[in-house]
Amino acid sequence: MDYALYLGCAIPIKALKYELSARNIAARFGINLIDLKCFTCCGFPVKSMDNLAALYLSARNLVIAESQGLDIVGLCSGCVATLSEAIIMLEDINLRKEINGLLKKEGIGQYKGILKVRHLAKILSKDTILEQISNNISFDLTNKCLAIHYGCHYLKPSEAHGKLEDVNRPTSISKIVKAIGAKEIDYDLKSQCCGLTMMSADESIAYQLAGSKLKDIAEKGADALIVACPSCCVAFENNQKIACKAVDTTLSMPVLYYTQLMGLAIGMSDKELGFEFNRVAFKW
Amino acid sequence: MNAKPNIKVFVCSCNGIIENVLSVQDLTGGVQDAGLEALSHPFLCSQEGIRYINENTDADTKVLIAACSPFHKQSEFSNLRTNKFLIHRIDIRDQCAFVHKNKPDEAFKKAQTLIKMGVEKVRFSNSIDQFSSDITKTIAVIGGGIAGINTAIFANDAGLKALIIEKSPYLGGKVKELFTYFPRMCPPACGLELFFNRLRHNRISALTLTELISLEGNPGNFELTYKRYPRYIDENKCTVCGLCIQECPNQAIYLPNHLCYPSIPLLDRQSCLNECMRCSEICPTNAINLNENESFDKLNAGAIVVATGWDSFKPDKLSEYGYKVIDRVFTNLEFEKKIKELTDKKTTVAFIQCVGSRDDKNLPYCSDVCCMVSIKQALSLKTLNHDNEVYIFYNDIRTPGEYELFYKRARKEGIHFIKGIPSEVKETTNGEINLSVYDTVLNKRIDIKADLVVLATGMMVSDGTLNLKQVLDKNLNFNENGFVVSHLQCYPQDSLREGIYSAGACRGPMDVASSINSASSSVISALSFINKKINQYRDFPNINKEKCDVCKRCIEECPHNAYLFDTKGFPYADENKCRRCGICMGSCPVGAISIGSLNIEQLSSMIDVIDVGIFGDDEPLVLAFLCQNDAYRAVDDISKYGGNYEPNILTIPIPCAGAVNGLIVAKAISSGIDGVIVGGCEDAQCHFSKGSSLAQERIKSIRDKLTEMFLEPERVSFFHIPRDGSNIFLNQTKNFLRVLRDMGRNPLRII
Amino acid sequence: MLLSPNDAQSCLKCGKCTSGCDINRLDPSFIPHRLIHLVTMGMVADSISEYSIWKCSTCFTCSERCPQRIKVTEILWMLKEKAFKEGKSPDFVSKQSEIIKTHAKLFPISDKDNARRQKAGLPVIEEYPDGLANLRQILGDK
Repeated sequence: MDYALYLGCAIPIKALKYELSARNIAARFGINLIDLKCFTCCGFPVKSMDNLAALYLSARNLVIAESQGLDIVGLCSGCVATLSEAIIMLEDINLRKEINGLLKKEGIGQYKGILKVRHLAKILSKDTILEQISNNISFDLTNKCLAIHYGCHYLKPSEAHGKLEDVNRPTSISKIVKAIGAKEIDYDLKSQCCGLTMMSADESIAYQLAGSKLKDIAEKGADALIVACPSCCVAFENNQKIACKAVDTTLSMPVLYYTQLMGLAIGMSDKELGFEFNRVAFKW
Repeated sequence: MNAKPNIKVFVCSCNGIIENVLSVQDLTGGVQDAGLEALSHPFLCSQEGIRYINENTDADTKVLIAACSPFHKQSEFSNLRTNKFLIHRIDIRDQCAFVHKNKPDEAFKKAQTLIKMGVEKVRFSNSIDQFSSDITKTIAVIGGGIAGINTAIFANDAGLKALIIEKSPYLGGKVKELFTYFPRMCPPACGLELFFNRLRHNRISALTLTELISLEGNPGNFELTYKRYPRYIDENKCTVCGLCIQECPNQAIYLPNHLCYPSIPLLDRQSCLNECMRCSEICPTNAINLNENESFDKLNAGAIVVATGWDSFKPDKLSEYGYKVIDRVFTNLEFEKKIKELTDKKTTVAFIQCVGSRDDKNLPYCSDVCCMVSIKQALSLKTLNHDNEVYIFYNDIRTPGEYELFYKRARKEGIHFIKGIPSEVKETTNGEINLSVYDTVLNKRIDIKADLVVLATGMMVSDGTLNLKQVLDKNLNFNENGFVVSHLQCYPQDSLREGIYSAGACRGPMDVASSINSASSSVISALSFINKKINQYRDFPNINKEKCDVCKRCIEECPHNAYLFDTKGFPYADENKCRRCGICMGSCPVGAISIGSLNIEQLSSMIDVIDVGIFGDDEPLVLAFLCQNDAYRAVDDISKYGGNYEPNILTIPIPCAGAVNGLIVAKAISSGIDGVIVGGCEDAQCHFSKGSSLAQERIKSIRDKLTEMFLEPERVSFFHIPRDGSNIFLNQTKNFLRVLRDMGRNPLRII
Repeated sequence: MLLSPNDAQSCLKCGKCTSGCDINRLDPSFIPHRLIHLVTMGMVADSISEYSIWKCSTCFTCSERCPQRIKVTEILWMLKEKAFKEGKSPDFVSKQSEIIKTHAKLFPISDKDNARRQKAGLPVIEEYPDGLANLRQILGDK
């Protein structure tokens, strides 16, 4: 199956381990990711400046994928949510006309509204793939207790994500954890935001959000936190020290992408999974 | 020459009031010049005036009365000996002499024209007889909840035969599941028992485990086909000795509660496993037949009352509240049962109001009862143990009327009312239930731990109503929320169909008191329908089969679904379903339909006699067809306020704006009349539901045709004129006349 | 249509948005229903001068659960946009805006970044500054 891979701004710089593991695990399961040429920002940060400009940015990325006849696969939950929302907004004929006018000036074609945008985790959590994983476990993770942080934009707005799972009780990544044989732990702050999106507006609150969550999973006995979005990873991994300090604790909590976890279970190499880039070391 | 027609014109001078503006003598003189008999009288609506008319007419005389508005003095003029369909009244007072008193010459010309038109109306009128039909004096009640039970009791008290069709094994509906009624906090058993006894004593039959399958026949004589699911225990033979209950090895026979009606045990065939047949063997009265199958049967009823009740909204969709995931979260209806199991152990209970209600994606409406239900349940918890902590999270507390006192009592009891809705019900990893809410009065977040959470879910359309929707199809209208539609403010008990009424929460959310109230009102309507239907006029639509090309438009547009096909394949209107609105008459593309009070020939001939140049070659002449329910009455009112308008407008009352046929409008324009107005109610206020909107569609298509003919489409207009719309008429006609004057005269006018 | 202040008009003032807000839990100055109420009262100007609008983490919990289906998160974006256009936004927003106008990305990619990517076995990402005239035009050259 061919998809246009939309990386977005953060992943190529801040989440090499995610990109590496995603590309390699996708290839392993016959998911052919074709890099989206000339991509730009998805529009998310521009929503605070100009909503039309934000929509234009979303649309131009969608149009490029459409012209290649491909659906988009995204790795960043924020990008996936923003592009999916744009698809809904562009159902409005007048808005579509306005955006197509701008796209005409750029000369990259017109938005037709024929494509879909998916998060890679939603594809990898399909039963057929999980079955293959379960049948090919070569690294035992059964004694690992894992906490999942789904992340806000991975689930919401539910309308943009096609209402595929209950936003209050999501299951897609839990199914991955189950397939690799590890134990998912429940914790109280599961639905709490990582806080990264409001970091610039109020650092202290952002650190408290991330820190309290890390503290909660540590208390519940988590061996690692599983994430699906580069922003969340930054909040929990890159900022771990300062976030923990904000809630008066010190922790060394490994943070793994679901792609790394899957690769690890089926015996892919550390290099393929980009473990060299994990900031919180762990020895499993 | 034909023989002189038997037409008599009576002109009233209204004790000289009309005479002050118009010469009655000249008016009668004009009629006499046309070769007809015309008489005048100073006071036609007096006893003496009525006698005068009767002395000068016989039963076949066609009578035109030129006096005040046809909607004044209706009872006086109902004493005429002439068949009422041969009498026509035109208004030369309120809509002529009064409003045009400053322009007596024009007023006279208008009155003269109205009389000429009126003569044509009576000329083409026909005498119509009454006929009697046999009505089944039975009311069938669909649904055996509190509304249905009371409907049957009221109907029985009013002298009708009543019977109840109930899908479930027992009567009592949702009410039998309740813990207490508000506001008196008595157990529902008390009321239900009373009602059940009345059913029993009056031998009102209740068919339980019975479902309506189809409805045939007509209002007054419906034929209902129903399916009876097997009960396995014969109601008539069972003495409730309890032997079978004791002996069944599978506990498949039991009494679900102490208030069963019919008071026989339930035999759950699904749980009856080994076919031991023990129950049927030991039953001393041979009441048990385990091989019973479902059966079908029919019954006749003159009227039907739909009382299919409500269902409780299922809050699974609002997954943030943990319903069905957290075992201590209940709906309010489930809590009625739960509360009976609670002990006096100190408990903290949180109620969340408006769950799924006032919510655009769930129930967009307020469910009426949930505030009172939560307060009632909260008070019960306080009665159980005064130390119980009870929180009610609300947005608006709605306790109208004296229910407010109940709310006050709850506040005094120390129940915490917190204005703010929790965003989720969270079960923590150590099993506690946490609710975090922003108190919008305190401007502060409050976190509480609750032992139990009650979601105050609303009342929604029941499965029973949805099933009925399939069975009754077009015989009943349902709104976007699935409730049975009625004319809510004036006739809440009426459906839009003759002979079918509704009671209880199938009409929309309501409490027990309102349900019982609605039951009595439905019976009053059904009763008056049955009585009225005994004698009725044969004034329903008549279809000219020589003209009819069976296009079926009348069938499609009839708002009362009255049309059927006769044996020769022509449409005809069922006299019992028809409400004489004339919408079919307006719909017919070939003008083949007439109703008793109005026909196409009359309207056509009325237009023929109009002298379009009467007010001058360049003065526009306007014909206004006005709905007699609202628009015409609003115009009548103008004189009461001393208002006036230009005499160029000739008004014709019609039963509904939807009765105006496009052919008539086209004829008016082609006869040189400069403008035509159709005045009807606001769409939502139309007495015949869609007459007003159909009229607008038709006006639109006439306008398109005018454009094609290079005529100004603005010559034909639809005005929304509500009952209190006198000023709207004045303003709109002022503009209309200005537009017509700017346009110049109708090019089709022959000078 | 993009959202307008009218899209907040049906607010019931039930406070469910605030009850479920992670930010409000830690910072009581951020009160979503209050901001929505200001908008419904026609007091957009007051709402955009509140710094708290920038604290929204855009988690969408409020939009997801609003009984009147008001897109609270999106309304706040609309307020931020108005604030930005009136020059009332915090510095970090203008900085981000400058970066996006120049690079069409929030995190522009440098040669050093690409070298690091190549070393890890990842493809080089090209800068794509062409075709940004539209964006500059919409955002307004400051």
